[in-house]
Amino acid sequence: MAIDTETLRDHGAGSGTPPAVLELDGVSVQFGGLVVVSAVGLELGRGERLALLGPNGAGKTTMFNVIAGDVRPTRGRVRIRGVDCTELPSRVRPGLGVARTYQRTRLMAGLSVQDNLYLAQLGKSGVRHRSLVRRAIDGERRDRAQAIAERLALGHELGTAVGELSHGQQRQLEIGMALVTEPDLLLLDEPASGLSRGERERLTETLLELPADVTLLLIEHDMEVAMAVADRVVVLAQGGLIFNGTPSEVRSDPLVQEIYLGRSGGDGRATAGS
Amino acid sequence: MRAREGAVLLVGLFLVALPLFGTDFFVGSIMTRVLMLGLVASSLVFLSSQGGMVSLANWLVFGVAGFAVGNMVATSGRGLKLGWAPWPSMVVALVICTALAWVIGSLSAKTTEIYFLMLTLTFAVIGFFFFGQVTTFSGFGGMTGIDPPAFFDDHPIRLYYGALACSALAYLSFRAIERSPFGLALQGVRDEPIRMASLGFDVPRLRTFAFTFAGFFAGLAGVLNIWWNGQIDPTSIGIGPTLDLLIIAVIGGIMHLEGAWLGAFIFVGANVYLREIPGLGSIGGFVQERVLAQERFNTVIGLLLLLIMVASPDGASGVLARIHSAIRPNASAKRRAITIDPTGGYK
Ligand SMILES: Nc1ncnc2c1ncn2[C@@H]1O[C@H](COP(=O)(O)OP(=O)(O)OP(=O)(O)O)[C@@H](O)[C@H]1O
Ligand SMILES: [Mg+2]
Repeated sequence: MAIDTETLRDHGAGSGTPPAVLELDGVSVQFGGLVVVSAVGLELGRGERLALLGPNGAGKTTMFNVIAGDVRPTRGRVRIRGVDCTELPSRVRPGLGVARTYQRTRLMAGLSVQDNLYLAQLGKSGVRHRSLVRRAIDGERRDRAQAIAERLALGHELGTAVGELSHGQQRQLEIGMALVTEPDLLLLDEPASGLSRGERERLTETLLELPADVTLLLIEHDMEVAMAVADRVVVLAQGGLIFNGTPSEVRSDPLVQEIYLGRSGGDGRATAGS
Repeated sequence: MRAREGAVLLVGLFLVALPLFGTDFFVGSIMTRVLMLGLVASSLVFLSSQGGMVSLANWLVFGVAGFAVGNMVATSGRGLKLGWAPWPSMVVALVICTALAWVIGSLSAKTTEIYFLMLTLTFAVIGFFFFGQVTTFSGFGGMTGIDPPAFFDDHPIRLYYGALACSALAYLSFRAIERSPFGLALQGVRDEPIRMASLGFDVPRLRTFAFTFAGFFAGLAGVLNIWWNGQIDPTSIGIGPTLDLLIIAVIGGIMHLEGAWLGAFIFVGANVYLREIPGLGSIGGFVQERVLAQERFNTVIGLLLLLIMVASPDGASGVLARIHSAIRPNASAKRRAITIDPTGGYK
């Protein structure tokens, strides 16, 4: 029943050169007759920071869902650290070092901030049946939850039910849920949306401070955040990858200008599609 | 100690002392029934408050315990007539109930909300017809003459204490789970199953496990009930009684564990005493007296349910919690609120 990610990992690491952290191979997603992602191929090496841009409805979140296992692709393969995850459910991803955030916040509203951060760590380590009646918050996980909460200015809200937090605080916690698992592959879906200017700056700092071997895939409409963090940019439009290059190249690419940045392009503060 | 624990402890002590001053009828009949119904209702409240699963199959598990004990213990009448001793029969019945709950749980765990409700209702209906039509195990006539262990036979007060002890066990277990890793994971699944899966949790398995755990306590209540009652028939596990359990949980407050016993108290109290109140005679019209009492009861319980759902969605225990926070407002300012929204979030 449980899928042993350790064996999967060993199996993946068997071949000579280290496999890419993430490989998408001809991934297509179709909802009914609507093609949302079409034949996307992508490879991410260890420590790479990739920004995924594109107008509203381009299929960015859907692509994320495929990587995270929330959506099965209609065609194509997804490999994470060499392990073919195409058919595997989302719950095996944390074992492979993957963590994601959601564009529309998905938090456990009836539980406290600390319990949410605790669960993120527990999920990665796996629930053992012997832990049935032990007290839930053990020292080490509590410390890490607290450290993350403080980094996101939620330190004084540890005991507050998440449903009672402000929208901005919930957005912060959404990011914290991923950071607290100390992932190798971090998928952030518009983390800056709903944050104040100061919070965006702090977010940029946090992302720049990530350990060098963390691979980052970032969907972000806020160009300032995206350009500061990314060392490579891909642009998705109508489900297809139309651009793959550096942050400075993306500003001058005529096709991207036309399809994505549109009239407001060029000033580096474009909020696409809105 | 916080107010909630204090109140529970006080009520607990009161219940322990009750046989010293309560009448035999009140203790051995009314309160034993309250405790047994509260016990099975607590298994439902646990599932819905911590797991977000409103199950209609708990009453079936409760009933199966009764039929299982009946088949094993009885020596005459319908059923298997195995003539086993009561205590081993209890153990086997609990194993059967827990296994049944695991089967129902694993088949229902992938569904949620209305589908979960309908699926568990389907099991309840199947159970009703199974024991009605399969005369090897019962038949519609039901089973009678099922003796409890000698320890409880003709000792209603002992059985009362048995029900009290089992209720305490259930209460403490469900409360302990609430703060355990498993319980937190379960509550996470209640709030955001998709997030929980992507955090690495096996959501259907957590749900199944909770359902199985609840099934054990529903079965325990069922064993007590058959020892108390000495008989069981399929009608008692039909749709009506199945819904009664849900009504008990909602009246008491489906989000508070204590509400299970509170709801059972209100339900049983209304059932027993309403027929004695003069002036309610016009309810139910011209039907005969025995039926009249039932009609009157159904009407009043219906009105009560309506009142509670409009005035306090989290039931009688919610009213108590609100009174408490009105008296001491800061005590619950930042309480770990679990509230239910009867509109389901649609504004
Ligand atoms: N489960 C689904 N069923 C049907 N259509 C869907 C589903 N999920 C997404 N879509 C459609 O797929 C398209 C792409 O959606 P997606 O959320 O991936 O876009 P996006 O690039 O993330 O956009 P945004 O910038 O607005 O977040 C949209 O037209 C959306 O309506
Ligand atoms: Mg999106």
